[in-house]
Amino acid sequence: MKTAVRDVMTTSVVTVTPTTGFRVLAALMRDRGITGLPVVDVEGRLVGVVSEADLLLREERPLPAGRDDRSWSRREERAKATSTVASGLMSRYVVTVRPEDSIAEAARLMHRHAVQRLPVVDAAGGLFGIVSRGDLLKVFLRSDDEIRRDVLADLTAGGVPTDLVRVSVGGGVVILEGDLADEPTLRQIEEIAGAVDGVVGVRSSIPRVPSPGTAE
Amino acid sequence: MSRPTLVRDVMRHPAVAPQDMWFREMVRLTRDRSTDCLAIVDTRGRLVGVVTEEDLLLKLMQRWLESRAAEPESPARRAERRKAAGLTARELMTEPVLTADPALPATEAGRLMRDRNVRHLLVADRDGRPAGVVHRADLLALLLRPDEEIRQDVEDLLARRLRARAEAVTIHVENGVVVLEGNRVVDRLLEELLLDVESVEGVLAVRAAGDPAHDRWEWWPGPRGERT
Repeated sequence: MKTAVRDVMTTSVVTVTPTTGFRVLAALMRDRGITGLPVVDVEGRLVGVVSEADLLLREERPLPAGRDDRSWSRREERAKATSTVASGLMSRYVVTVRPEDSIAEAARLMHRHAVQRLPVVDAAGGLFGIVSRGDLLKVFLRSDDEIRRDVLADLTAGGVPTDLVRVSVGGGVVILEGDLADEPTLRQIEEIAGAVDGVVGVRSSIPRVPSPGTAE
Repeated sequence: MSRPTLVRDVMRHPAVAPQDMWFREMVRLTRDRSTDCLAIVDTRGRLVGVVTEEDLLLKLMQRWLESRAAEPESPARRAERRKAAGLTARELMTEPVLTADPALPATEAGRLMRDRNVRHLLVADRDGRPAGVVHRADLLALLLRPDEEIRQDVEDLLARRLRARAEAVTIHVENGVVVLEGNRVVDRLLEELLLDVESVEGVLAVRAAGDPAHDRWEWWPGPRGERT
């Protein structure tokens, strides 16, 4: 079974409103160890996210309005650095995921947008939960036994005769041993093993035979 | 006036890991220590690199990165692909490590993090061993300074700069917002002091009270009438 965002996300989300004050935001983040707070309107719809970085802009004394302000992002930063309520501090453009998205997809989104967490929203735009980097990394804490069971099940499901390979797992690394396999089969085996949740790496010592039709 | 908060005041003990620590152990350690970065040390305990949650998360992108390996890739992308395939701290770590002096003001540390686009700074002792780490969250303390402490600092500042005339100014501080109430004798002097008052640690904004003619004091471009 592939781990989806809904399997690892946090559902008891601490949210704030557009009028929540600066100090309350800072205290919530510090005391609850939260790096970003979703801002929701009265109907519970997500309207933005306030991050640690947004609050810390305050410590950088904003320059007076000037040439610098032609840059949109600079102007936005300066506005954030001078606001004292959530609506003025938050980012309105929020990257979100759906509960059914894969954790790999969530990781890619976090990486591309350089954020540490993603609000999880349903099709109607309602806030469902929040998923952090730490939540995604939980998958790597699966035990070697669990991983091995999944690898064997997936190999069987993929039509690979499991008597062909011996599978062992140590520290999340799958070790494949066997007598002989042709290149396409071997690649298929490695592919299946590498796709199992929690697998850190795949090492194979199965000798390759040239695939049928290859002259050698 | 109290001294500024320094890196050594807000730093915590870093989570330390040897270079041969395995991937899963690093995930477990970051989790157990509620941190997003590990200080990687050599066999003599000296800081040689740093592994962040971001580095660990690349593992989830490994297959995606590999599937694009045939396309032309930037040096950064190549480094990410290499890290994504890594199994030990040595393979995942970033070196050299950006470190901060424990005597650096915390506000400067915040600026350094932003300029260098990192979420934490490590502090090394004289022998090069990791002595501390500052996360962005640790800097939030600067913004949560008690109002009474801020008031005291503002009072000291005004006394020093205005001397006897400081008595003509009433200082209000509420949730980090400083409101100065003066009279015509000190108005002009106060205006020159606003930037200094504003840079007192923990001050979120400075506003002038009273006379609407002094609305110009609201040079601070925040929304008006926000203070409740």
